[in-house]
Amino acid sequence: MTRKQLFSLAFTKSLPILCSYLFLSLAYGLMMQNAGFAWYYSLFASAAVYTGAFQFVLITFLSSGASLVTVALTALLMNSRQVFYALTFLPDFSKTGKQLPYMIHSLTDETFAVNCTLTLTGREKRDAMFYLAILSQSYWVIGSVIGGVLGQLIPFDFEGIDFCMTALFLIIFVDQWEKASRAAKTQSAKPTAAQTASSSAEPTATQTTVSNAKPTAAQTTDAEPATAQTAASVGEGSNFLLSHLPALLGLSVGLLCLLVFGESSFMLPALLITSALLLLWQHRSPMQPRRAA
Amino acid sequence: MTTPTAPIPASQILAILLVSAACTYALRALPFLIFRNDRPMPGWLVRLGDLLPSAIMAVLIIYCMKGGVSDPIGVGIPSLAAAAAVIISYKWKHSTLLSIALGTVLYMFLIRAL
Repeated sequence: MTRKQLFSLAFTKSLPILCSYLFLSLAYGLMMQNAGFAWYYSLFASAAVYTGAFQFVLITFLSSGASLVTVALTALLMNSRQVFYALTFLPDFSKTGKQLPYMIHSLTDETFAVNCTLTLTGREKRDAMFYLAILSQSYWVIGSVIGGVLGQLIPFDFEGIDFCMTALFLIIFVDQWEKASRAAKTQSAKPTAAQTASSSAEPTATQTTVSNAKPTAAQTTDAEPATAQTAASVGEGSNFLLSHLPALLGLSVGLLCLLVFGESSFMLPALLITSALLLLWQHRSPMQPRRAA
Repeated sequence: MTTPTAPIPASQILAILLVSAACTYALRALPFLIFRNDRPMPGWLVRLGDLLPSAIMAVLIIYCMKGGVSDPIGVGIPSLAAAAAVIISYKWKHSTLLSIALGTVLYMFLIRAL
């Protein structure tokens, strides 16, 4: 694909982000203006901080002149989920060279989600991700400025427009689900299909076996006979469970944490518990034969 | 258009914004700082990174619909109904933009109607 084609692909992929970011940041700029902060502060915040929910909380912090410690702690807690996004794209991002600092800065819930849908590989994927990052942040920055400058002139009843992001997440979820089902079907001999279901599985796997020779190599080679064995004994039902385990875990742990920890603080425990369970599971299933031996 | 007067001095605004930016950037950069080229990612972490997207997407969906717990009728029912519309229409047509438009319009209508 040429750069132009990649850019137009990135633009098409960014349309859901456009509709969500533009209206949300419009609301943000308007609220900043109403709280007494001119558009250039919104511009600076959207360019330098660039994180949805926290920027709204930041308005109340700015209005009350909150202490820097409070600001820092809240920023760290509210944005802690971003650590997990970087984890997924570490192998791709590491090769972006000069773009890396910006790729890190521009990693949000939404760009993470759309990056997950890219079926490209190598350089093309990195370029598309870069265009997506730039487009997404420009929507956010432009919206904040327009909100600050013209906010009061716009008849503002866009409440609920942010559902387009929820819809996008749902669609990506369905896509990932179908992909996992297909992977489970084609490799029905291997119950570990869920592992290969997500986008960047293959290149990263080979990377680590090369770079991190002993432990991973031993794991992967040992895993083969074990999975073949268990495949014979497991039925369709457990195959379904295995291939959709990450999605099902995310849903159930997320829901449980929401009920236990409440709306404002469930994200971090939910992500931590889900990751821990995933680690435990993938640690147990491929490694059992090694322990037995 | 009038330029509003900020309730706190500009230096304090800048300090708060810079601290926020630094903390957010640090979080996003953390995995890159730990695993640089000279220190490759261990295998378990690579596999976790492969499994995480589906799990994170599920948690993000719940995050988006979290308002339904405290307001089951005003937010909960609209969210679930619109989510169902998105999933069903997407299963049917596999058109991203159509499903997003349908779900969002339905949601915006329902939060006003209920």
